[in-house]
Amino acid sequence: MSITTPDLGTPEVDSQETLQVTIDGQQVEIPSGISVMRAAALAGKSVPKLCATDSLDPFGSCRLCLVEIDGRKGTPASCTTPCEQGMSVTTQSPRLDKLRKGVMELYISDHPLDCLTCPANGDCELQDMAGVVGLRDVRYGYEGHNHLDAPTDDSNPYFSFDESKCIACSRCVRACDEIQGTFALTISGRGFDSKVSASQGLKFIDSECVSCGACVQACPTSTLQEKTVIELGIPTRQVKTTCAYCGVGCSFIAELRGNELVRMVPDKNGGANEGHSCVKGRFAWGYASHADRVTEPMIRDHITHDWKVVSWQEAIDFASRGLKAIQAESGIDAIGGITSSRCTNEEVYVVQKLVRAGFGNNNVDTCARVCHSPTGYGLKQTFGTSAGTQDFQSVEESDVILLIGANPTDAHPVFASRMKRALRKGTQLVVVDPRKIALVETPHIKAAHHLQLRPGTNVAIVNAMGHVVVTEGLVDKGFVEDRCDMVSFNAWRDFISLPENSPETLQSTTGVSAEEIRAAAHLFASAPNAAIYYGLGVTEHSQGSTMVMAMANLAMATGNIGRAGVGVNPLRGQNNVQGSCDMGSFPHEFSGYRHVSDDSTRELFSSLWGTDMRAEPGLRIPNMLDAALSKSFRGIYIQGEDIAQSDPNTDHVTAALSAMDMVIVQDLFLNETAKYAHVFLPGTSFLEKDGTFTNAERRINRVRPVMPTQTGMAEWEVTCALAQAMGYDMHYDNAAQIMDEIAAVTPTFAGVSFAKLDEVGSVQWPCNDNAPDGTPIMHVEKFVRGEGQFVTTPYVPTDEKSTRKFPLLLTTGRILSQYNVGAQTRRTNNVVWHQEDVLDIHESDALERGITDGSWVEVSSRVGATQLRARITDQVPAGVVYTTFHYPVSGANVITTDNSDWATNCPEYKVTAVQVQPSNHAVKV
Amino acid sequence: MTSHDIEALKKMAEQIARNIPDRSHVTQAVGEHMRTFWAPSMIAELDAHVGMHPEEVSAEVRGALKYLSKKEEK
Repeated sequence: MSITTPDLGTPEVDSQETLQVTIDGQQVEIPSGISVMRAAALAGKSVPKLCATDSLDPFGSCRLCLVEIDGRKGTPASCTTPCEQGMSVTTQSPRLDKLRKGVMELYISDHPLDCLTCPANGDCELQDMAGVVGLRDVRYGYEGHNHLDAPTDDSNPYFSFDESKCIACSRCVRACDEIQGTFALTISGRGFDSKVSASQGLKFIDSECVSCGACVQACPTSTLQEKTVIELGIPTRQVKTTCAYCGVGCSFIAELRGNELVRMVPDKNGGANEGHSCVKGRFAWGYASHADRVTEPMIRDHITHDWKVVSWQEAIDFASRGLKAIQAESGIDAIGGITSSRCTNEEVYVVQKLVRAGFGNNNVDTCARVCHSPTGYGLKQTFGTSAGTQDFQSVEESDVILLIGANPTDAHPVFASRMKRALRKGTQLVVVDPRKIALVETPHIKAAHHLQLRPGTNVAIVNAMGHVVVTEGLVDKGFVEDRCDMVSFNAWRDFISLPENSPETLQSTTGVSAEEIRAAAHLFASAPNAAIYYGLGVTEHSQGSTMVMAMANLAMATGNIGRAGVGVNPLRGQNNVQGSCDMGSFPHEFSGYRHVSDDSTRELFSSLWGTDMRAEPGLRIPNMLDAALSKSFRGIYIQGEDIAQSDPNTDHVTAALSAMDMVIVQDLFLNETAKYAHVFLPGTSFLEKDGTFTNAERRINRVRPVMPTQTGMAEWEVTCALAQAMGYDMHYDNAAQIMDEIAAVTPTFAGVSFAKLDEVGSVQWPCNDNAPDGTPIMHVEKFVRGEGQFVTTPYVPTDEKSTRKFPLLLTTGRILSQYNVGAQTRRTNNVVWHQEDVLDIHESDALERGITDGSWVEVSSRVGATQLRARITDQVPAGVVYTTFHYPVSGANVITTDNSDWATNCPEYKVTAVQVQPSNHAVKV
Repeated sequence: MTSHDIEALKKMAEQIARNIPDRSHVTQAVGEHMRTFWAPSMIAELDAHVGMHPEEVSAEVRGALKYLSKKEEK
């Protein structure tokens, strides 16, 4: 049975007013402003259509949706005709039948009659409409001038473009424009020669197309068709679930034949994505069935030995024996665990429970340590909780967006499309980034200001903006007095007013002119609604936590908290960063961000879990690794993370892993970390999981099992089995029971259950008695902590400085087609867009060193060196180089240092002093 | 007891002392930060080392450790 929502033809209109119209004699009340087509569909009288779909603005080109309206001449197109009060519409009449049949005859006279062998047979709107209008013959014949020999473009790895089947309805073009915002497609030619063209006549693979799939989704025929459908056939069943890539958390409908996944279709009812997708979520799921998947448990006595495939029981027993022996020899604190932001809330929750209750310590940390831990610290200090303030929809209400250290078009593409829609409607953008990211300037978007600062000077920039706000009378006094702690505000005001924080003083530090900073500050502070969005370019610095608080100060001082269009919003890197943090993965906090020293919280968990909880924080990841080198930390359970590739200073990480006596890795693949493991526990892909992910807007989405596990055990079952073997009785019948326990012990999740999510689709926490439907926007009446807390944020430069020996600053990031360490995306056809990581270098720096485009270079820092190919580009300024870290062989983290954020130890990935020199040796080890 | 890289602990403590926002009560703020986020073994090891080599850390870090010791005594 289909779970796809019917297509009502034209978009919903947000209107409180209603109208009465008559459709085929039936009186209906409809929202004011909707089209006749949508009104008819709502009345159950769907009008035939081809160029219309409710995800796109009406276009009126196909002439199939003609209707008769009492008192009007002719037969207007129902898609472009808005309803009016009292309108009486006829959707079926002999005249309309004749007109529609005539239109269909024209379409079909120039369309291949291969329906039975067409990939879209049974899923084709043209075929459906031919049936609906009762087409039985084509008077014009099929021998006339036609497009039947038009070529097929198979260049894109995921979809094909069969021009012979195109009806030139422009849905693909409009989807690329209106939904994705890339404008890669156009209709070239006129009249009979009209045809869809990618980047004006290029093959799709060579065009600006970003393979988001919006055009494929919009196509009413088989012209743009998923290659998996061509290969496998039309799916026969559907399961609604959630993407496992970035923190946008897009909802998808997985479409299968039996247990074989045919395609992933974005769900238009998905709260985060509303029917849109990116190349990763839409197409790059093939890794789940890749030949590299390890599906059986394996053990070995020593990391130099070969792996031995064993049963689950043998693997669990081997792991637990090792861990227990370590604790017997070296103490209870000698082992720990790391949870993963790629896993479900339920899987994460049971791992931290295993550590706290089964291992008996608080040595649990999460991969958020290396990305958004400063967000947790900074927003808790200022607002009272560790989460973004808005829902994604909020950006459409923003008049000004301050985008800092984030590259949404590559890292959060579906949110970027939403942001671009707002920008095209007039929202102003200020980009703060050392790199010229795509949003700085495209043919359709131009940022009002690009504050192209030196890496490591974020705090100086935002302090300078705060200085302008305070000294030029731009503070929203009403908001501050009503909502914020005045003692802290006064202290911040006095601090930020100091001359040392002025744009003029700091321009030599930041490299951004005082005039530019002042103009940006004015724009932000003067806007009715100004919002801050940020990414790892904020957090992965030695002052990451300070920067988060500085942004919170700026938002509060300008009154930009607590309503639509404003806020401070972290764009989370991985699908469940928010959730893994919410679930109590940090060594100092239980679920819901409650400190382990809090007696009542500890008693709650002690009582429920039947064992005493420790009142002191445990070790963080870097502390665990340091302790491993001194042999006092000897065993670790690593859930779904590849710290040997993702964490900084690789040599240090691998030395620490090598020093341990029991490393347990739970993952899909034998990743880099598994090279140092003694036990490998095969994990499950998101297609096999049953649980929830929480996205960057605190939206809790269901992850439903699309197919059976390839390993025979859910990951939470494996964790429970390990707990049992360790002597701690942990048991659940299903994942829903785990969520029930989370809800019972976590006030912000109190109203969450699988049943609730199945009923409403998704909710944003807090979801409890005070907010039974969830909380799209936080801090509306008051801050979670009561009054907003200003914090003084002195700019303290990083220790990582460029010198004569290391004169350039390296910063890192990710690109659209790849994801983090590439474990997933490298095992998909996305590799066609990115076969290797390269080093972006400015022309002047390249010239100075005799480096040519595409040549090999050696990049060396104080801790290591690696080799990459150079790409000469003006996307980085002189003095800054940039690379991605998607391939292990690139060794990007061989050169990043172990400098970290002062408050949270989040690594300073974004600033590494390096030298770059030509290399004669392209051989990689 | 878990043992740690003393240079790493010193570096972390000094970084906290340089960056902690509350500049009017630095030693207390640094101490509270350590108590909130550091494992007890880390504090104990740094404290033991600083006891023998007080010159290796700043007055703020020494003060923070003293603050924590006093708090412990209470």
